[in-house]
Amino acid sequence: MRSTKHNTHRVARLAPRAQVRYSSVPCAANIAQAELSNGLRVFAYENFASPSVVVRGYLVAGACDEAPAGPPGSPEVDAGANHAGVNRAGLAAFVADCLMRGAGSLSYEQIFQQIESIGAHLDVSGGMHTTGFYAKSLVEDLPFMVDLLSTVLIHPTFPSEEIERERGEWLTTLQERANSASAMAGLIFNELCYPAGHPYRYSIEGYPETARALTRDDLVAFHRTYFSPQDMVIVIVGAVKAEDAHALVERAFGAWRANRPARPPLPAAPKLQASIRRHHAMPGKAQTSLMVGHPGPSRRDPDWIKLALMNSILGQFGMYGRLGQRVRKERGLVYAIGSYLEGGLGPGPWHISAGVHPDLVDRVIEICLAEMRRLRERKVRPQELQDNQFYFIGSLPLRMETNDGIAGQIVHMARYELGLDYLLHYPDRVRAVTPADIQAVACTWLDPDHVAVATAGP
Amino acid sequence: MERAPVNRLRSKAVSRRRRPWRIVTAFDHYIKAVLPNGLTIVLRENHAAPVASLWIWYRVGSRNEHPGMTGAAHWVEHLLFKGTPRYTESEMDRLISREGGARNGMTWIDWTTYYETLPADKIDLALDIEADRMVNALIEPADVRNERAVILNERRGAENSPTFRLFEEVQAAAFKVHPYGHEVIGYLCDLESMTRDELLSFYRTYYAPNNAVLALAGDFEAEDMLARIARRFGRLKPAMRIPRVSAVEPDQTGERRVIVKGEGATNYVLLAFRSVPATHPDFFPLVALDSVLCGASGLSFTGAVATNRTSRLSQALVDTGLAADVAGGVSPTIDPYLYILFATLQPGSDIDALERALWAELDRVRRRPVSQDELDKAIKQTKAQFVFGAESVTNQAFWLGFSEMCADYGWFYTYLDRLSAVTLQDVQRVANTYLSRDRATVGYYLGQG
Repeated sequence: MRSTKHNTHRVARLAPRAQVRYSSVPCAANIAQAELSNGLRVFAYENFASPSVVVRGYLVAGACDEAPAGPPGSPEVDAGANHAGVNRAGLAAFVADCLMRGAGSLSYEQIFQQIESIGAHLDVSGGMHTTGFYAKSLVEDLPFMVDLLSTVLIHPTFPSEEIERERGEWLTTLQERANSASAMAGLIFNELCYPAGHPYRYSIEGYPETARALTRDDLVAFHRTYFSPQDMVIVIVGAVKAEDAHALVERAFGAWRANRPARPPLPAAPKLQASIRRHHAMPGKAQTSLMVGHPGPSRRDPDWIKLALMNSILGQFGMYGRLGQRVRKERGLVYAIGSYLEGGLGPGPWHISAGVHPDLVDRVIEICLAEMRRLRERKVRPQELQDNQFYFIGSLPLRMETNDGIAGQIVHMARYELGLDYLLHYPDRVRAVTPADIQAVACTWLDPDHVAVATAGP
Repeated sequence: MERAPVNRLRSKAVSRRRRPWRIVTAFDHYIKAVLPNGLTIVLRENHAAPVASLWIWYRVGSRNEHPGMTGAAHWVEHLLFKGTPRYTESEMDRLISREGGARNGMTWIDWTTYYETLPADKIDLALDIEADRMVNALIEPADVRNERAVILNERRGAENSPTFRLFEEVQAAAFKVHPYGHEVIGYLCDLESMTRDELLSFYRTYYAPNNAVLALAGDFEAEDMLARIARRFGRLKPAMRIPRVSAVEPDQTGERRVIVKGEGATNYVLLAFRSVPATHPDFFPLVALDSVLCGASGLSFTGAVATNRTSRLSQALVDTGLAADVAGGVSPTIDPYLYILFATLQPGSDIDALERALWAELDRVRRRPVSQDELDKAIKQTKAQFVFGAESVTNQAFWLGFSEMCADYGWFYTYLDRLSAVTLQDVQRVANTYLSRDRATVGYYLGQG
């Protein structure tokens, strides 16, 4: 058994235990970066361990651009409805879903026939701030995949018949969402956390009313207005030389010229004025989905690593951190519980989520709030912090084992402007965090007296 | 650059007599060995990244449960995380996590498995934990009580999903005799009544080196790794008698139908056909048939990375607006299991019309051979999936062990060759043999709004 006797001094001089081969960590020295004349940034990382390649990235078009925000019928939306009087929640995601329904001279069937006949994968999805894309193929098919990616992003044709097919699938997804306790708890939680008019209040996937109302003109206009190579990022990782990867992107995207309007700043996401709770009744369900939390920090917050460590201690480390210990291991109250920091380009929510027996919801909420208070009131034990620090540093090689994992890390560094040497300095930054830092960020960011509590279930 | 363990082992053949393991097979960076106590070891060196993944597989799943004990295998899996005299629950969690490791356990119809993926120079920790809990799990009464509540919560969470409830009913209707008829998580009444003694007895019966396979892939040297494994597992005693499953499901002689009504507005259709074991000659033709109907299956245990938009059933059901999604799957199993087709209906879609369209496609594939292009696409998709799956040592070790559960590693190693050998006539033949109405169990989930 290892010793459990530790003190803060020991934490401060942790040995450099990171199991990272620095020669293979993606960093400025081995990521080939270039910017095209249209503003598109391309990053390439060579990895010849397997004859496959991954393309990941994003362009700046998302649900944030769907002004006015909100579901139809809500007063804040009707007051600011667009010229057609139709709300647009879900438009960015619908546009992304329809891109592959026809592009350039290719029909929907031809696009998928080409992708599936080579065993490749291509996916585009609309998010809150950006539209992301992901392609994976054997390296011999990379030129084709990059060309196809450019065709669907730049030249979608939005055939009416295909839009209706996509709409049918969308409506099914929304119908299934209405019968998912966890999804409904999530919708309510965001409504409780963010004020009227804030994009984070509303669903990226939209609502049945908007799904039925959006027109082809809406899709075309959104694409024409917001799809642009400005600030777009493409990351290519795999068995391809960096200069070849750059040349492929230049050939496919270099001539694209389109400017998008400047995006207004996000409205404020103020702290909640009081705790607020709402239940969505779903008769017939066996379990209640619970979310407890409030607006959180952006990923670009300078305290992010401290926050991530604090969150790990609370509800991630091992089997769901302290929450797992109290709620599952000691009492058997849940199968799964965890705490999550969803901050991205803006102040995404911080929350605890769990599936709970309907009779035990209050008890679990009580424990969650007590654990939030404990992090604010008492410093974490140095040993506990050290375990989490080791976990953050030691798990780096696992996160970068595959092309997918490496590409994800590079996109992350680009999106949040962390610098390409972020991972090199990451172990030192993690090691520098102290118990006092954890308590300080808990006091700043965890507010057990002003939480949103959303439940959905019987 | 990968080393060749085969050559190294041969060059040291003189001293091999002193080693406790027996090499069964060695080829292409792969070794299969057995310890005197019956523990099977499968290793694959891969030096692409400084990580290693250990999976320990037990030949026990819901297939080994009898009425009154359904859910026992899964419950025991939970209890193996609760600690031993050497490692408490928290200590196990802590030690793996602080090294940056990932770990979990899974129970299925044929097997139970536990894995740890770690930085390669920390993999001994996983060996220590797995050797210890193979025989020393405490299974304390308080832990049994606690995990009973956790698993009841897990079951309630699953019951929130209409598709879980539909599948459970279809499975039960498809099997009258064989234990494949019940869900891995077990029936509520058994989860409420099973005792600690029964679970302890279940553990002691099935957890032994001669009922286990240790699969390890990653950045290590095979010879050295065999010695490290033998040091930890070599002294564990084999079980005297491990009960074998003797149940044989009688032939099905007519279509069976199940209707589940529940909350929500969405309807689902599930068709389950009695299938063949992984080792049956018709398994690979069925895989090819499934690819034509529903797209190629992923070969990553974390999920597939492939769309199926050009598959026959997607075109017939999704493109026509009847369904929002369709999926299929043939699972490699020890005993004959099920070939599954599953569709999610679009709002307002007629469930009878969808089923008719589905049968029409199955009739078509029975009447006329599929095209060579369709078969070629299935093979190319599977080849790509193999390449993608090989990037991760966790996935490699998963397949090393999984294939030993239902066949052996040679089965997985020759997967592509065997799939490539499938002919158009094979596909038509298995469609006629297995996709008949008399072998089908049809399930409807009817959302009540």
